[in-house]
Amino acid sequence: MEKIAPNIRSARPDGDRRLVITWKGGAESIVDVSKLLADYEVFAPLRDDDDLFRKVTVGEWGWCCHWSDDLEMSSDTLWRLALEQGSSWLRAWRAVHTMTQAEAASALGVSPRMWRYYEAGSHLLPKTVRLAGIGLDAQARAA
Amino acid sequence: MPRHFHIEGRGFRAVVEIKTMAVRAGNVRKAAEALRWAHDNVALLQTEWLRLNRKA
Repeated sequence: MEKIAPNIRSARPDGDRRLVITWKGGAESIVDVSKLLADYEVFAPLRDDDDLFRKVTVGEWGWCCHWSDDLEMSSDTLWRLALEQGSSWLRAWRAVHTMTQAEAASALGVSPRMWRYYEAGSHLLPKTVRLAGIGLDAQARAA
Repeated sequence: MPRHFHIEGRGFRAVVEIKTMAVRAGNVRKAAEALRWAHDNVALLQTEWLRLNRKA
């Protein structure tokens, strides 16, 4: 039996075909849905219409992002994308810094075990860890 | 995921495979009525799945 993703507390559009999703429990993810929109014919209106895309709402009981009866993305799908994209973001960050997992974990103040979970996509990358990576880069540039 | 549909309600959701009516995720304890409806409307579920999952 597969696990059910948490439901969605709130969602807002962010930039070009990205959603900022706050999950039940308070974790926040930026989810790029451009590939999902490109892959399915039914999503054509959301590909073509910026204003429509910005009208995202949370479906009843938080189980989807909703635009119309046909235009919905389930919380399962969005959760999977959030895990995948958090993982790729973190791996890309570490690759730029040519660090081992242990070095990167130490640099951002995360336990090596949690770092492995984030990179494996088995745990959602916390907003704080992403911001810590961005913050470290900003600090390095300012120095 | 194989062809499936979702049953959703307050605080619960289930993912059910159309072909077998097997529950892939979640629980259907509160969804007996929806499941009965699904059993009677398999053809409609198939058609809708195909319509909504057509690749661009």
